[in-house]
Amino acid sequence: MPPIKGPYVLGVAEKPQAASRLARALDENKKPVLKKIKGVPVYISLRNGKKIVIVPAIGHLLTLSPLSKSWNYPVLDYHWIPSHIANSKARTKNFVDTFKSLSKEASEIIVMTDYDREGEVIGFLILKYLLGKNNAERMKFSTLTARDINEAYSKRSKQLDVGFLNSGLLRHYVDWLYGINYSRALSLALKRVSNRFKTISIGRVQGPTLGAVVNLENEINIFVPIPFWTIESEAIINKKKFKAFYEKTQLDKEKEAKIVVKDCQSLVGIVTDISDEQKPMYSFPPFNLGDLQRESYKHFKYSPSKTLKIAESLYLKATISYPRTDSQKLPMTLGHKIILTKIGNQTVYGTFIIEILKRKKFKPREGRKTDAAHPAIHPTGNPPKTLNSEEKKLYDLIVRRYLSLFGKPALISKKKIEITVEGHKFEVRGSKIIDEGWIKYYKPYFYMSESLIPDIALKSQVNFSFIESKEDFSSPPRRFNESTLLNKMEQEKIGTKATRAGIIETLFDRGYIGGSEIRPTPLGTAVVGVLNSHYPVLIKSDMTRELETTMEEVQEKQSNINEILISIKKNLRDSLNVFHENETEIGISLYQNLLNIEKKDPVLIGKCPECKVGDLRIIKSRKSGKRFIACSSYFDKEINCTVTFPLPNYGTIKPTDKKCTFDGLPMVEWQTGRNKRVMCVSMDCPSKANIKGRKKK
Amino acid sequence: MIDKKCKICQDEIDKSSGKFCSNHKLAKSKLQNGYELWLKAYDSLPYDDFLRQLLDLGDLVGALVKDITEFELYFQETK
Repeated sequence: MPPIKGPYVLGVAEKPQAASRLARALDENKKPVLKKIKGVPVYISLRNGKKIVIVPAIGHLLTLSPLSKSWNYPVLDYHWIPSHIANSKARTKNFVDTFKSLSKEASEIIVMTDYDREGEVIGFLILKYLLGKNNAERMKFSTLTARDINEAYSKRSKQLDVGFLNSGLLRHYVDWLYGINYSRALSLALKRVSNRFKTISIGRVQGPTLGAVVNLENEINIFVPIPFWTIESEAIINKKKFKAFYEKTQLDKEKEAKIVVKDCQSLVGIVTDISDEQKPMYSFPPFNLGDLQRESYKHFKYSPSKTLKIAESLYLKATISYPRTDSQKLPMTLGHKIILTKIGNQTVYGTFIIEILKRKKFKPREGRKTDAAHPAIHPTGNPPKTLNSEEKKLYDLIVRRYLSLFGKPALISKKKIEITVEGHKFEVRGSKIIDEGWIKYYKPYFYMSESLIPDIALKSQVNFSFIESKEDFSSPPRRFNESTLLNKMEQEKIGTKATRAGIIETLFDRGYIGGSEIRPTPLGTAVVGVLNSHYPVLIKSDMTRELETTMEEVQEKQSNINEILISIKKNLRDSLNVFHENETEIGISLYQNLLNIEKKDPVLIGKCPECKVGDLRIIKSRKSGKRFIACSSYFDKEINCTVTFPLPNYGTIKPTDKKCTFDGLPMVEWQTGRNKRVMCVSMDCPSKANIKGRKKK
Repeated sequence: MIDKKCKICQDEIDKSSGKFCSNHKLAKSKLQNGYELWLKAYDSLPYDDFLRQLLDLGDLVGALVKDITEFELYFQETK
């Protein structure tokens, strides 16, 4: 017997939370019936006598898998299989079964997934492989508000978006092909020369991103600071002291700096020019995902992936619009007056809204970037209920940015006084906010310090408290943090707004990079080193950028992807042939690099507590591949110390100077991704009792 | 017998350098270029003083350059 009696319209949602919102909005009484089928929440809405059954997915329910079972390369043939078959840990089986069981009685199907490439692919794969259809109607919305959902339902299109679908599918195929083939090629190259298996994974976007981190580190490693001099001075105007800027920001020769100081030793100058101008300062453009991720990192230190996760949660709570957007546009059709009025009900923003509504200008300031699918990120006006502290912070940032778009330009007065001392020009600079305008709404996320300088007449005499030279040195380039690495990926045009944060996360998880000031790990450096000398195409942006352009074109022109795939596969096969020819050389080089790292960095943990002669060091078992701590005196025939301590087999282990307060043994730092923990090397240490207890529970 | 290992890190030497691996060879050439710029900046500066001052700059100096600087200053037999 079917779980729900038909006929009904079957709605395919992307996530359970989205399904719930869709069902509530589409039900005439706003009270859909919830039925659990195999634990999957299925919603039944009634609308104009029609039954709408909305079933959620949980992201992708299907995944690509090679047709051949041999672990070799090139792998060019694949098929889609349910994710739970490819990976037993995937909890998707019940969702797959539910879709299949409900497909029989469905009279119509509507795809209600997020309107973007991934949403289109998720919907299409469910349609084709679980529901046995090739097409369905499509609802397109940018927020999960009742207003948008109902409009999307009444204006739903007759078919899926071909541009998004083809571009999304192509991206899946290309990423899968490059990832599986090059990871296998590198791992096999190492295995064939060393008989040692280690998964060395690399992807189409991961390669150039890791390459950028390693290249920067190489640049820092060979940096030589160069001396330069600045002229520091302080002018006294109306008995107050002001920093004065010398006409040249830096001088390259010591002699030149000394001459300036000698020339100016009278410390007396004459005002030779005064300028005072008022300039408007416009608000920043609306948030697209990249801008939001940067601003969130700047103010809250949230990583790009964390920001995306929080923004998605806010979207699912219908408090903000769809966050995966490039757009800096906010069309008038969004109904800004209604949104602003609704935001006005939140007391924090009430007074700002009264001001904005009084001005009656509801056209927000916009930026240049566009996105075919969604507008810029904006609040929906729905009351933000049950937000956690992180969501509250991000929500506040998004609302204030949105409000700032309706504010007047700020008016800034900039005053400059030029003082000449024996032919050398100095400048005292002041600034004052005449009218705060939009800044008032965006505080505390924008701050401008004011410095007021008094009025003074031309040709007045000005005394200086000092004019001195200061020796300084150029600095090496700054390491990337997650936000600047994301910028770099945007500049290089690798990855997409939706995938970049995830790629950075993967590089952390695979142990290629680490730290908040990102440094490559020895493994990351070794992989890039080998690829750089034997296969640079994988760590340069050119190939990835070209593929991105091709995929963008597929979306715009809605072109057929089969021909493109044939050509991509041909290029891949050719380049893998080249790899195969150099496989031994690459394998040797990779093996030597890895050996060098292991040799160079015998990670010393401290003195052995038992024999008190040897050093505790991290050893990796050749047989099992597992690592542990052992005493170096094991090899000393006279001592033959057999002290060992087990270690977790994932993450990075670093020595620390700390000793455990319980047993006096050395402590190590264990880093997995961004998480760091300092712990005692002994498993029996009382400090670990809590962890053991937790595990037992 | 010719030593085929880098004097600093024991990696394979770069054939054209004869003394250092490719990384340290590059660092050495950066150090030499740097010295020329320091000479222009200060008018005159003995090489050893340049090396000593460089070591005083701590983390501003790249790790490979620091290796070369220390090697030149403390282990170089003929300067």
